[in-house]
Amino acid sequence: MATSLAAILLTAIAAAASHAQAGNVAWRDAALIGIPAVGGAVLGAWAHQRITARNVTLAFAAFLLITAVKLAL
Amino acid sequence: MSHELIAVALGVLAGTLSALFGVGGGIIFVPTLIFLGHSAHVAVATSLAAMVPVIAVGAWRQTRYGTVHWRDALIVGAASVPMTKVGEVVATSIANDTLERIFAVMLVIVALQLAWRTLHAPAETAMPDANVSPPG
Repeated sequence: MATSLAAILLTAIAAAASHAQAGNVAWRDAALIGIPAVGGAVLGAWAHQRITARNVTLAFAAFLLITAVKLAL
Repeated sequence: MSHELIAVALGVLAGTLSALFGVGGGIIFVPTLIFLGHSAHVAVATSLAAMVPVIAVGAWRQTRYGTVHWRDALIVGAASVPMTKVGEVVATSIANDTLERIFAVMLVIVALQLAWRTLHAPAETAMPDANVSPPG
């Protein structure tokens, strides 16, 4: 998993650079979301060790489905 | 609330959910950016840039446990680079509405996969294994 993360880092940088060339990266929002997300990811990884409720995960999956429907409509 | 505060709050939330449920950051970043008023094209591009610090810190944290095989990471990562250009060109050429719908379909697949993994996991480890899908 760790090696996959390191490989994806290269992928994300290359993909972001390519999209930036196309002029589609909103840098300010990328920083506003991406930097706080680092703290969130640490928090999420910590919670992952402790939460074992299936219902929470299923609720999240349902939330993703609702988001998909909203996007598609 | 200002746009900045909302973006920061959504960033923290997206990072937390991504690591907690073991889904890719883009799955949550893209709808977040569309919610903030961006087009699907800008959302996809910006989400990739926003992912870079999250992945960098994640990989750096893993290096402390000595679990990163840098040589393999470099080979796999480098091999993916040319295809990112192809992905960008395809994404840029697709109409905004279509890109949004394609993303919605992917979201459905991730949601179903997450539900499947959860329902089929042993009771003690009800959370899906984070190893299945790294936050990225």
